[in-house]
Amino acid sequence: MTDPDSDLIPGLQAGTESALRALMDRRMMTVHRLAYRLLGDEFDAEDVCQDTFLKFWRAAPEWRTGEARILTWLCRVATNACYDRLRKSRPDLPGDMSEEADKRDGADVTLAARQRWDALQLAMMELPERQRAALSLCYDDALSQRDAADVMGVSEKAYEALLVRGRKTLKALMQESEHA
Amino acid sequence: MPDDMKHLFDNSAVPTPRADLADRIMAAAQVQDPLASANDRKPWFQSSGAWSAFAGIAATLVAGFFVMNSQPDEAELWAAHADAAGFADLYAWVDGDTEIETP
Repeated sequence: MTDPDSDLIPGLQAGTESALRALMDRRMMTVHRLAYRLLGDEFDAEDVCQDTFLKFWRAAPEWRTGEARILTWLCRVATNACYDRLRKSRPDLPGDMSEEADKRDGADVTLAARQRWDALQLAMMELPERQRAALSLCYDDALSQRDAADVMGVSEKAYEALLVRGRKTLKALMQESEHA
Repeated sequence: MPDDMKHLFDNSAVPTPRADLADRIMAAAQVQDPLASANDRKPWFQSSGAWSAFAGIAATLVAGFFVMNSQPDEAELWAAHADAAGFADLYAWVDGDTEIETP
């Protein structure tokens, strides 16, 4: 498994700060974009970004080269952190509702904040979080199907199914908003 | 459809993180050393975790000592129970402290 960030691993394992900065220069936008798509809030996305890079910084000395790509690891940690935040922001959901869309009015998002978003982001926030993640990993981050499935902790088939359902739901939502 | 999607995502605005985010992360990283290098610096018994563990064990032992000392003696409990039940004289006789008067 070739990792395009493998050149930074010795520096990161030695605790060299310039290596961390170089990693952020390369991957910060990707992690932030993913977190933003999932959370819909730029400041929450920054918090997730910060936590993700710090987690990697702490874990880097124990990094085992060849087992995973750094970007995949970062996306996976960020995705899980986003899921945690989304669940904490709606603790009253009964059972596993991860595949259910959030139908609450406003969903804790102010009108002003909503107006800043474009139509796609509005529709994305209506999607179930796993479909949202699948679409963002595919279209924002251009990860391969295998890497994206790895990030989400599912098989490639399951990821493909999420992607298909996500596309279908997103298309329906966007058509709905156009006609509204 | 996938191509449409690609176009949609490409044209959808995603805000960029604030310029100082990387600096904030660097500042946090400076006070949060990587796991291995932090561990390499000191022997295990000098780490804050080891001291916390020692302090925890010591606190448990001291608390245990006081708890044990504050427990009433078993014999005292039986005596109190016997008094309450009206068998004090009988228990005293069994223990050989007193003689029961025979009629």
